[in-house]
Amino acid sequence: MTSIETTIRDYILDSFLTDGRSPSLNDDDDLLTILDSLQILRMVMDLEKMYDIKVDNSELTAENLGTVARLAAFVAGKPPKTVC
Amino acid sequence: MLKRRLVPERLVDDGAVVVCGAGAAGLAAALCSARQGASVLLVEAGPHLGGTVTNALIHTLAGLYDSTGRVINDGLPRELTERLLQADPHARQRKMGRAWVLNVCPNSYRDVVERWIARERTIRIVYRAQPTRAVQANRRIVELEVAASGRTFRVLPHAVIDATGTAEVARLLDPSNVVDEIGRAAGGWIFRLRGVAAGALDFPKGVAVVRELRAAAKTTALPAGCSQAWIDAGVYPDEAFVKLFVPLEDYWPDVKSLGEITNRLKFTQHSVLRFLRKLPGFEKTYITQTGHLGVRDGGRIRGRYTLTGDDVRQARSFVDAICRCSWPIEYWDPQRGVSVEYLPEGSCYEIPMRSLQLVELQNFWAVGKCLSADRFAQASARVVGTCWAMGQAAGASAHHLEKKYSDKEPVRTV
Repeated sequence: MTSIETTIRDYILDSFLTDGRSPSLNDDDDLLTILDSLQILRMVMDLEKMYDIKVDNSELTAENLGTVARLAAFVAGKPPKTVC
Repeated sequence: MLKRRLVPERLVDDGAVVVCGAGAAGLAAALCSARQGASVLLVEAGPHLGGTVTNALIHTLAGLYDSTGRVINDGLPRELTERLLQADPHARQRKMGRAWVLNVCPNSYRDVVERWIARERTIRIVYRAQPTRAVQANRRIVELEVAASGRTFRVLPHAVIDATGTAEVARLLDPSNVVDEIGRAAGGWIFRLRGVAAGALDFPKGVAVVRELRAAAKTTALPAGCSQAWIDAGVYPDEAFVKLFVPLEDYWPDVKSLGEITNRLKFTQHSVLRFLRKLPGFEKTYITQTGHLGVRDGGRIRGRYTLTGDDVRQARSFVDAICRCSWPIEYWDPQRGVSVEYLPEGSCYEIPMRSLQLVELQNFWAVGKCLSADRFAQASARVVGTCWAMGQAAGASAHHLEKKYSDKEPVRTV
């Protein structure tokens, strides 16, 4: 597991899954069924800040956001906003 | 609109269960009392039935299902879901995030509840009316004055149910009966769009549209008030509902303020429409309906028990429980926007009868949004399904009280 995966997984657990659920979140769990629209929106905004990236609306797809693993790969592939 | 109306100036009513407010809680209270044989007088401020769902255009009915998607409260709430699903083939149960809602056209909801009420011959309705005076004696409300169409009439009630959403009857008795917090939950302004391309809001595209709206609110492209705007797919394939976030100052009920708020929001909604038409899938969209200002927290009574956010979070049970709720704490903070706090997986909490009652009154219940609760508990309990369940419980209690004090004489009209 990459450090980005760990950070994103911990962020999701801390931010959205604090309601007594089992605190496990596997890297291939379907985030689009676990999180609601508002949480997805917040997560994207927070990831933009955390990693200094800009996520275009065209990039809001299940392929990029669907799991922790895909999300981590997507974030890792984004250039920092400041050098764009 | 129902044809069965009262002629206010000719009426003196003695012995009725009086329900003020014909929204979710009031309708349930009236139906429950009437079905058990009570004579019911339903006093509604507006020109039709349905309350916030029909006035503010709510198309996702919350509080009807538990976290697994099963109906959470039997009786009228279950019957409501069945009637809505039967009446409109487009109505459907839907998972929204981790909670279940019933997607339904607000106009279908109105048709269903109006037909339902019309079948209950012991419910009489007075529209465009509101309580103006309440007299208390011997721990009972003994007289209620109602203004309608510029005239007033008196009711000598056996029981009174305040389902106004703003605790109007409790205020008339004593303003200190009601908690009006500074920084109350923000209101909502919803308008309905048609002509949206199929799939334009399919998840997660809807999130992208919301981001566009909010990003535009940071520039001059949209008014700053759109910074918390939301859009959701509707009931029909080409339909969407846009929800604007409306922080409410303490003086919002003032007619002038309400007019100013409404004018501002109408301007904003047209700006939003112009903006949306530039986005893919929204080129041909148009507004078909605009709701009234939806007030989530219009004041709550100081009841025998105040339901708390911790009661909700801990899924608390009560010996005098009247219904169950598993809807998350959906709090619309006027400064920070909405937050959603889910209950523990698979759990629900209960609402005690004491949360509907004032300490010193035996024949009064406040139901729906104005129950006795702190702002966080109210942010969960105020939803439609729970309001129906609260109304049902109060209606049953009111009927029992009416039975105790009356030999069920028909309402006297003079």
